Amino acid sequence: MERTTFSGILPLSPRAFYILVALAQEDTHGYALSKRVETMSGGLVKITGGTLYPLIKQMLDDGWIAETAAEPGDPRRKAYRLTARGRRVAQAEAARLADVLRKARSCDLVPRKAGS
Amino acid sequence: MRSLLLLATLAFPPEFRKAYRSDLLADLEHRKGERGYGLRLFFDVFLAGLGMRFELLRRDVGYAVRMLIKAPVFTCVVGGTLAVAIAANAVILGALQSVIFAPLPYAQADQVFVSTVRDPKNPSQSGFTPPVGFVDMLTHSRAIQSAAAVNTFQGLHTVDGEYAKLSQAQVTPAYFVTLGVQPYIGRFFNASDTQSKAVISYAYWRTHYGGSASVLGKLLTIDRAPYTIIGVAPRGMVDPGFGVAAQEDIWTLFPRTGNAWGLLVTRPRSGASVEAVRADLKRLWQNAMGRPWQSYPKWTQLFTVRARDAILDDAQALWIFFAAAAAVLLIASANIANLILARTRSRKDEFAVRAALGASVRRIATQSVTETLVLCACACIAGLALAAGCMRAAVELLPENLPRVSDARIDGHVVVYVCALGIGAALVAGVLPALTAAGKDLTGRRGGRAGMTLVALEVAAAFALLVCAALLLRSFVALTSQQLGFETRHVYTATFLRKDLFTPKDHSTHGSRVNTALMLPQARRRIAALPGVAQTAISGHVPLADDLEVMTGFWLPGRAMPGPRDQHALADIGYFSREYVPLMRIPIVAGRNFKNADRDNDILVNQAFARKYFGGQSAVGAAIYTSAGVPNATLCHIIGVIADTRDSLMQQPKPTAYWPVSSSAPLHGAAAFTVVMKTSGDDPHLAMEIAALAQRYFPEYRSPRVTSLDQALADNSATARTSLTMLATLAAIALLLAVAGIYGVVAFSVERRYHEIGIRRSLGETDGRVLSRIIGSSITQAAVGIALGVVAAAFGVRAIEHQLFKTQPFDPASFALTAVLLLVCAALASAIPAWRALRIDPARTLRYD
Repeated sequence: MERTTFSGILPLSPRAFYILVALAQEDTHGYALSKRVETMSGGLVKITGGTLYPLIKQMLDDGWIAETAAEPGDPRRKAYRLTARGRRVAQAEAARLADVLRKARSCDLVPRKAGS
Repeated sequence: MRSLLLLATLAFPPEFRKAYRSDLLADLEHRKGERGYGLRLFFDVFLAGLGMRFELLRRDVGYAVRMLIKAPVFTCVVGGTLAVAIAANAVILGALQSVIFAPLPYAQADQVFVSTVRDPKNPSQSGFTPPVGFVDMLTHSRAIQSAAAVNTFQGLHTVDGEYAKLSQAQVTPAYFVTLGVQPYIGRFFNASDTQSKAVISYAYWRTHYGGSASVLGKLLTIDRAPYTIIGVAPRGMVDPGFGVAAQEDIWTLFPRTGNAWGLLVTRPRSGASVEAVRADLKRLWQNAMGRPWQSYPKWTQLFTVRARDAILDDAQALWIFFAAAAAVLLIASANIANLILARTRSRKDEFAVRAALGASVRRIATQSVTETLVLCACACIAGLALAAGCMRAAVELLPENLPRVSDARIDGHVVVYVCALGIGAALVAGVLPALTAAGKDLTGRRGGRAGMTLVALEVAAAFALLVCAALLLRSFVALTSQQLGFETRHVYTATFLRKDLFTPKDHSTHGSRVNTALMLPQARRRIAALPGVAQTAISGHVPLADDLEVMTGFWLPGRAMPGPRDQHALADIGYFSREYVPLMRIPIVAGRNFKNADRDNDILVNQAFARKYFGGQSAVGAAIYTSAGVPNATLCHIIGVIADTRDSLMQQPKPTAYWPVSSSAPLHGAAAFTVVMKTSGDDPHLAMEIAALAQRYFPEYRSPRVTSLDQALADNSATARTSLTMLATLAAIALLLAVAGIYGVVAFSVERRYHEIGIRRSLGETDGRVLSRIIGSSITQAAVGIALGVVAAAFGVRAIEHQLFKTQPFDPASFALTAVLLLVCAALASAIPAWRALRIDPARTLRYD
């Protein structure tokens, strides 16, 4: 059911998925978000304001995220939180990736942990 | 970096920019320590901005297309009108491109000059061709590198035994070198070539020899003279000339001996200025006086211009059509603006809903412009397709003496221009509605006023075009109702030219005189025997061809001898046999016609001559002393005065004296003469019969050129007719569009006021008052437009002034009638919607709320 709803959206771009995951961890503002994505991906996914804000705007329009009260230290900056819909999108993408991973594992494409 | 980033954010749509600019700047601030981050940010911002813009555009275009499909009638009407206007512009630009902008196909084309002989006192006259002998004098010129002469003529010839129309040019060997043209195949002339060599055109090669390379060395027989083809001229080759389309079929060499005349073509040495070329030519022309081939008097001068400028002489007319087509496009754009405006107002609910849903004013306006752009883009494509389809037909409408006009086609330049026109039209048509859509005032008052302004502008443009067309019409009527002084119906001329026309030995030898005495009556008799030919006469000139010779010096016994440049002693000379005057039905005003027994020095003069040189006194019985007409200066007796005849519609009859053809010397040993004939009806085979007759009995002559005087008369007014047709067509389109514009605005405003009209009528306003109010307001608009139009017309009239014949540029009748026409049209256009409003039951309109 959920899957059919998101069939036009999935797969997400790596950047979008990382942003959703980052926001699932914690509400945050734009700059911290880009930093967190970089750390999470081990520097593999780089994201600047130029790519971040158009994505944020799109996600706001689609209702995946919402603006939340500004940070106490910096009233000018907007912070964002994941909405229920955004959470479902992220879950669907995670499930899709897990499925891919499962298939990859069955083809022996995923290195097994030593001893297991 | 910060300012660079701010610059890049301009790529974003404004709403986005406003919302996120501070975040982006803060971002930059936080990470300024990271190497290369600023640059990456800049590019990311820029690319993302473009992406967002593109996405918006894609959505807008999609929406526009859906909206246009939903209103097919609107789309077809608006797109169709615009397409027609764009097609008209594309066609005219295509012609301009080919006639004016495309360079002449010569190497360094602006370094090719052409010269004619003119009377410095009368610089506007068209000029005569210099003698070919002059070309040889230029070999020692300091300023001129190479020089040549060219003489072009068309006629009916026997080519390889078959009759065919052939355009031929005689040139000197250095002609192609002077122009800087390379042969397509084979070679061009060199100094050692004999007269039997010929170069053919690319088109002739393709049509007659199938483009085969084996054409070189083949024999081509023209009027039984054999020519060996030595080369093919490049594609699109044109010969220089004064405003004449000279695209020849074949080039041959001038005869080596004898007198010949041709346009002088020169190419200066590198570094020589125009002034140096002119000075050198002027000096050498004076040196040429007294040479045996020099036929011009001392006071003549060479008139030298760039070949390009000489050709452009006649192309001016095109600019006028161009301006007229642009005016039509302007009217079409204004009309479309009006229609869109009306539609915008009727879509106010849709806009209101969208505004309520959060669409900004700007977005709605952009959307509106996008719709217009999409519409204009479609109209451009349709217009180009239409233009490409109509190009051939339109070229037929254009003056055929425009050089290279037949090459006109829709090329890259035209496409670029049409795209620019489309964008221009979209801006004109879309901005006003967009402003109205964007403004708070969607209820219509301001929009209504905008519509009226547009209508006034349309009426102004239409007025200017109509006035120009009306003036051209008056001028055309004046031109064609000119009294020629003779009858043209069923009169034909056959002009005989001897093949050795330009060889001098036949000029004045005794043998040729004998020939003349036999030849002229014989030619007349043979032609008179043809079926359908009722009367014949011999003439030294072709009527309506403006080819009378100029008598440069004569004087009246008992009066002071005029100086060589004295204009008072100038007159034209004609020669004809005694049958000419009755055949042409020229009235004899005083005295009598020639008789068989007349002497060579008995002459006739026309009324203009009698008026000018004899004032009120009778010319008959008087004598003039001249060397014209007879070998030595002789006393010539005037035996009669005939009515004035015109040799061209544009010119006033000039003082002319006529000698009998028995004065043989002027007819150059019958080297060139014309048989004038009157037939009992139109005979399409006459030309062929005469050609066959000439070939059989007079092999020493070229195939004679046969023309009907009716045709010559039509040719005489052809340019005027073309201008009139073109401008009248455009003016008619303009009028139709303007009327449609008035109708649209009135219909829309009346429709919106059904309710008000209903109230007024139920309160007792009469139908007459309702009608007069609606029609009156539309007449007021038209009147404002006409007032503006008078100013616009003043510019238009200036442009066509030189084309007008016996017509005042600011002819009050033309202005007044055009104004009345437009007012009547405005009244009619508004009467229909007004009448429709009256047919609606007031009760129904009132219930509507």
